[in-house]
Order: sequence, then structure tokens, then C-alpha cells
Amino acid sequence: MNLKKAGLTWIIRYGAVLAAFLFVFIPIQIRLSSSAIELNSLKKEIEGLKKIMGSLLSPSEIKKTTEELDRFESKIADVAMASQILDEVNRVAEEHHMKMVEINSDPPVNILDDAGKPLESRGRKLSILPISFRVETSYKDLANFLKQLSDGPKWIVTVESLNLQTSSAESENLQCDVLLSYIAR
Amino acid sequence: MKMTGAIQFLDRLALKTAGKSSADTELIIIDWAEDGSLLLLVDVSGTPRILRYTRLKFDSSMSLTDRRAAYIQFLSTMSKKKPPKAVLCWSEGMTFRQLQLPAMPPEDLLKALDWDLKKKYYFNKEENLLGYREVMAVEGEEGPEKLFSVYYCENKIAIPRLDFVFGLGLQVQAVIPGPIALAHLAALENLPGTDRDVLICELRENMARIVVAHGNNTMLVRNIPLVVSDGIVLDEALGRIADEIKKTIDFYEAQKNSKPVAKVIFAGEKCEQGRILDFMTPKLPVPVVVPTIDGYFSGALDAAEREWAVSQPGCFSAAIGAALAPDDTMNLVPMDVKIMNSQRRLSRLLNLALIGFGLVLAIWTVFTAIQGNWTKSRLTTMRVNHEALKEEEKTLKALLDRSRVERAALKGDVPLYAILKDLSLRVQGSILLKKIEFIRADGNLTLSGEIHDPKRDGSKTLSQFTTTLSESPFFMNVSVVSEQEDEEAKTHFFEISATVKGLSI
Repeated sequence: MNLKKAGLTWIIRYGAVLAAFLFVFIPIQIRLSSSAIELNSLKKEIEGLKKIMGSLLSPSEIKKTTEELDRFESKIADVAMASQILDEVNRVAEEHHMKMVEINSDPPVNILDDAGKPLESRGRKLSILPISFRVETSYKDLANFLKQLSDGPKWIVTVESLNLQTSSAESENLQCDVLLSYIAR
Repeated sequence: MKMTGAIQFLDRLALKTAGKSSADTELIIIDWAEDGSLLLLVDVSGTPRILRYTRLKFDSSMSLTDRRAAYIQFLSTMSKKKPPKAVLCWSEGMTFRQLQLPAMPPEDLLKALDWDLKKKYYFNKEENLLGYREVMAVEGEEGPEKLFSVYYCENKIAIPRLDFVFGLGLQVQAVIPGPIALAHLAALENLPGTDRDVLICELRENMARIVVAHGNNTMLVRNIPLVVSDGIVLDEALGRIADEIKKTIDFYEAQKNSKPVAKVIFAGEKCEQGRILDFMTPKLPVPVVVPTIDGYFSGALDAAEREWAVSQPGCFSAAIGAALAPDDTMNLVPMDVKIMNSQRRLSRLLNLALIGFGLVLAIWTVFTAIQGNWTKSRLTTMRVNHEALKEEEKTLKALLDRSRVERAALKGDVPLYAILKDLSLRVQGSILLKKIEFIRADGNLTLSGEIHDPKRDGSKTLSQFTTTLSESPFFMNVSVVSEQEDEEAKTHFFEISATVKGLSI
């Protein structure tokens, strides 16, 4: 009977030590396990990110691209600047001795991506601001005019269409209908 | 029997594994006699060293309370909570027997011993404390047998003594027969490696005990009355003792399993060192010695006490012998005391194991906590890295988005002024372009004009012109849409279509 009692006492003592251990240990172990799981998933995620980013652009390429894009975005005109653009086209045409017969600006048209969604830049929708004009000019002056507009520091312009024809058999001047697209937002 | 075996195993295990406190490294040895006792406090952490001792002399008129008071005075300096354990040793009332039994399982051995003792010596196990052990293998009448050395002591002698010691608050570790204790000391006196036995003669008040020891075992015990006058053993009595020793040697050496007796050791409180050696040396055929006990005293002992003790080696022989063998298997302690002692040892062992278990778990917990902290700090660092990478990823994605916007907005713009310049260089003198039409949406360039060269075939010039255009880096799919020859005007009209390269349509 005494032996049984003593045995039971010892079992209780060991059990108490074990219970105390488990009481302290289990929360620590749970914390450790969750930290370890998070650590592993973060490790994997970081490795994946590094892999992806390493295959995309080098830091110097990022810098260069950023500069180019900054330049591009800074040259996007404001849709409210149509009159200034017309003035600029007129001014450049005059600089190249071109006779401006007619010049118009049409309402801006949203630029859509492949999925048909409007493109955005700096939180505003991108549009095309069409400028059409007719000039009488020489072939050389027209080329120089177009070069100056394209290389111009102010806005981004593309030539959408160009129709060039001799105005008459006697005249050396050409009659030219041009449709320009200014990118605006 | 199984229970006893298990207890002995646990005893040994506990002794080997348990850490030792001062109560574990010290023992109280009580060499018990009717007329008094010798009490030693011995350090048994190595070779036994006597730390303190006292000799108690009792006369028959002394009450038990007085005797207890004398013991308590000696014990008063020791820890009351956990005093050292006691080892009792006495000779009076101890009966020695030798039995030869065939080999048998341990569980049957005790029964066989009981039976043999009962049959030969009217032994009653209910009235005696019994101790036994195997001495050697011998050749019996019916084959190989084992020689057992057996001691027993009547309960009416042993139990009051044990009760007395328990009453002092001491635990009794062992009750060792006096001859066995002497044999332990004699075994050290014998030359190591010699295959010889030793005769011990213990001279006590009114009794001489002749013991032949084979190693730690006793092979023969004889009690001879001793005449003492005024506390001194008379020469006549000594002469008789010498004769008895010679007879004993002759008898013993004539026995079948005996070895020659190497020396005679004199011990006991009536052993006067110088006188005995002078008297016995010429009378006995083997060397005569008294035990050397100088090495068993601690430096802490008072010089005078030490000097007196060293001059009385016989007095201390049995007690030192008992100190040499506290774990001797010839232990007459009752089974319930043995069980109690074992339980205490087991309890101590379990306590130690519990502490060890707790420590292991605590270390494990601390280790896990440290690991957890380390993981946490790594996680923090990794989170920072992750955030930085996420930011970079965000930047890159934004860059890609912006780049996509740029590409979509421009859709591969072409420098039209350069096209016009290239075109002007490819148009030869006889070709006059009347109309140039470019539509970026489909990348089409249409050239209309005329060739006026009376000396040459217009279609050939046109063909040459289209070839030149095809060689331009700006055009592809150059083809003549229409051509017409005006024979009268010698003019060749044409319309050419081409696709401008570099437009992502």
C-alpha cells in the first residue's frame, strides 16, 4: 500500500514537472514554429523576388529607363494647351518659311491599351490631341519643320498622316496636308 | 528473494549515482558490547578516517536513559535533521555457521539455508536475524557444492540494540558481525597476493575469540573463556590462549579447503600491544602482529586523543573493520529496515532524477526560447529585406507600367523627316514625285509621279526606282500599284505603294 502511495507520489511529482515544462514550453514552441514557417515562406518569397528582379533590369538600366520615362512624361502636354500647341506649330512653320493655309485642333481622343482600357499617366487619362493643318512649302522646309517638331523639347508629337502634292506644274511649292498627334493628359 | 535482489541492485545503483552530502560521506560506527561501546564518527569518502571517537563504559546499574544520554552527548554535534547513518557491529550473541549446499537458484537458497540451519542447529528464522554469503566453491560428497558463511543473532539480543539506535534518531545501514569486521581489517594486514589465511585473536572482557579469516570471510570462529584479573589478562591465561591458537592452526590447516595461516593478529580491548607481542612471538609458529591503525585517524582529531587511540590498536580493530565494510553483504539488518533504507536511497535517486529531468527540460526550454529569439531577430531582418525588395518590385512594376504606357502611346513612332530625306536621295533626275501620302495608322506610304526620259524606257527607270526604295532601311513591301505610258508625251506615270518599317501597328 505504502509502495503504491509512494509510486503515485512520484508519478505526480514527475507529472507536475512535465506539466510545468509543457505549460512553458508549448507556447514557446508554437511561437518558434510559426516564426520558422514565416521565415521559410519569406525566404522563398525573397528568393523568388530576387530571381525575378535579377532577370528584369540591372540598376543602371533602371536608372536609364526611369530617366527616359521621366523625360517622356514631362513632355506630355496638357489637354488645355491646344491653343499653345497651335501657336507653337505656327511659329515653327513661320521659322521654316512655310505658308500656313489652315490649322485646326480637334477634341482630344483617349488612348486605349490592347484591352481597350484608357491609358493613364500620373493618374490622368492619356489622350491624343489631333492638330491638322495645310501648308504650302518646299520639300526641304517641310522635312526640317517636321524634324524640329519631333525633336522639340516641349511636347511629344507624331505624324499621323501626311499628304504631299505639287500645287501646280509651274510652282515649286508643294501643298501639304498634315495631321499631327500631340500626346496630352 | 526477488525483492531482496531488486533492493540490493537499487542500493548499489543509488550508491553509485547519488551525490554525497556530509551525511552520505560520514558514518557512525558503533562497536557494541555489553559493558560499553566504542563510537566512531568516520569519514568514508575515501579510506576511512576517524573524525571523532568516544568510549562509553556502562555498568549493569546504569539505566537505559543514562546510556541514551551518553550516546546523545556524542551525537549532539551532528546535524539533527540528517545525521550520518549508523553501522553496528558486535560479536557477543553472533553465531557463526558454515554450510555446504549445491548450486541452486537464489530464490531457493534462503529456503535451503533455513532448512539446513533448522535441521542441524534448531535455527528458527522467526527468532533470529540472519546474514549469509557464498565463500567458495568446494567439492561435496555428491558433486560440486558451494560453501556458505552464515551468521545469525537472536532477536532478543539484536532488536533491543536496533531499537535503541533508532531511538537516537539514527538510520541503521548495517549490522555487521564482529568477526567479519575483524576479517576486513585482517585482509588489509595480510600481504597482498599471498594465498594464505590469517588468524585473528580478539581479547575481550572474559572472552577470547579466535577467528580464521580467508579474505573478508571467516572460516572458523572459536570462543574461549578468558581470565582477567583487575582488568589485566594473566600470563597463565595468555599461555592457554597461545596453546589454543596453535591447536586451532593445526586443526584448520588440516582441513580440506584450508590455506596455511600466514600470521596471527591480536585485537580486542584487552590486547596490550607490547606485552602480547613479547609473550606470543616466541610461543607461536607464525608471525604475531597487532593491527596498524595510524592511517585511519583524521588530522582533525585532537593529538592526545589520537596518541591514546594509536596506542590501543586492539580496541579500534573491529570498529575500523566495520568502517571498511559498511556495504558488506553479510548484513544482519532486518528486511524491513533494509527495505526502508532502500526506499530512502531510491527516493533520493528519484529526487536526483527528478532534478535532472527538470534541468534537462529547463535547458531544452531555454534553448528553444533562445532559438525562438534568434529566429525572431532573423525574421525581423528578413522582413526589412522583404519590404525593401517589395519596394523595389513596386518601383519596377511602376516602371514597367510607365514603359507600357509610353510604348502604347507612341506605338513605334518613326522619324518622318528622315524618311523624306531618304526619299529625296533616292529619286533620280528623270523621276518627278507629284504626290506623297503617308498614313501612320496602317504604315502605308504611297508615291505617285511621272518619269520623263525620252532616251530611256520609263518602266525600266521605275523598276530601278522600286529596287532602290526596297534597299532603303525605311521601306518594305515596295510594289508598283499602277503605271501608264503616255507615248505622245514620252511620259511614264506610276503609283508605288510601300510599308514604312518600325511602326507597331
